[in-house]
Amino acid sequence: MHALANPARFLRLMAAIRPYAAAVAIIGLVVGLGWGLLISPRDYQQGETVRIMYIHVPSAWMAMFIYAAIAVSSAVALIWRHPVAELVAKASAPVGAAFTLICLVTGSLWGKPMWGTWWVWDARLTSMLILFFLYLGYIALWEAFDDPSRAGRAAAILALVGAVNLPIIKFSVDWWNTLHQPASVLTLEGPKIHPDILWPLLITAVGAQGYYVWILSLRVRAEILNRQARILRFSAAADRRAG
Amino acid sequence: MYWSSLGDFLAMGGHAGFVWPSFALALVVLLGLGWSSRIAMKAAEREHAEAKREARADA
Repeated sequence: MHALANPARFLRLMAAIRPYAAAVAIIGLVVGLGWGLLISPRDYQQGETVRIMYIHVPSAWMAMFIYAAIAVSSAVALIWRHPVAELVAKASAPVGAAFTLICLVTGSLWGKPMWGTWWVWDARLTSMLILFFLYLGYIALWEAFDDPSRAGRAAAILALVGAVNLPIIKFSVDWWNTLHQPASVLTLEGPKIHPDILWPLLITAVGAQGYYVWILSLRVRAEILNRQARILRFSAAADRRAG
Repeated sequence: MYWSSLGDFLAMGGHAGFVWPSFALALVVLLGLGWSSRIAMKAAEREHAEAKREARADA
């Protein structure tokens, strides 16, 4: 981890990973979603609407995974003053927010034909909406301070406090009555769904992880270069004043 | 292949209005974020190069 605290080394690592992440993203998403749309069967209760699941479920997983990654990076940044961890967290947030938005909207589009309603204020849907607002709040906090080190600390604290929402989302379907179905892939007894549906779902999920790493590599590079440019300009201005 | 015709595929068992917008939204959001991230990276590369040039010119 300390080796990765060197921004130049981290940028080299990200540049090396980027083409592989892009390949995993494109192949995973095309194969997974293509399989889900063209080959996998309909659900005997839900009909063809079950295909929305291939978008909805991986988006939900990514929304939570990326938030967890932001929380862990934020903890590392707060405890060890790790300069890269903070920027990894910052660069991840728009990707997480995007997946949360996709999850919420596709959930609504799935809910209407299956439950007869676009939205219910139950525990799973509400906690997922709170996750979306946490992402927006986190992004807004970064913009709310002129001093990036203060912005980073405030955003990191929000990310850590907001992490209590993650187990609430995960277990909301067990703890409260809800229209939302319970977990069917990540269960202690193993997946409860048929391989014809599970495979495209998992391949899409791998593609979504590749997409996250791909976009993260672009955004972290932007963050690190912007911060270095700021430092260069700052020290040049200080030199001019001194000279 | 699950579908017997292109029309079947597009109709999605009468649920085209829910299935296709879901896939379209995901496509638009993911492509849009990728595009804007790429633009942000290019802008940062330019800004960094410029700050470096100015710092060198000062020195």
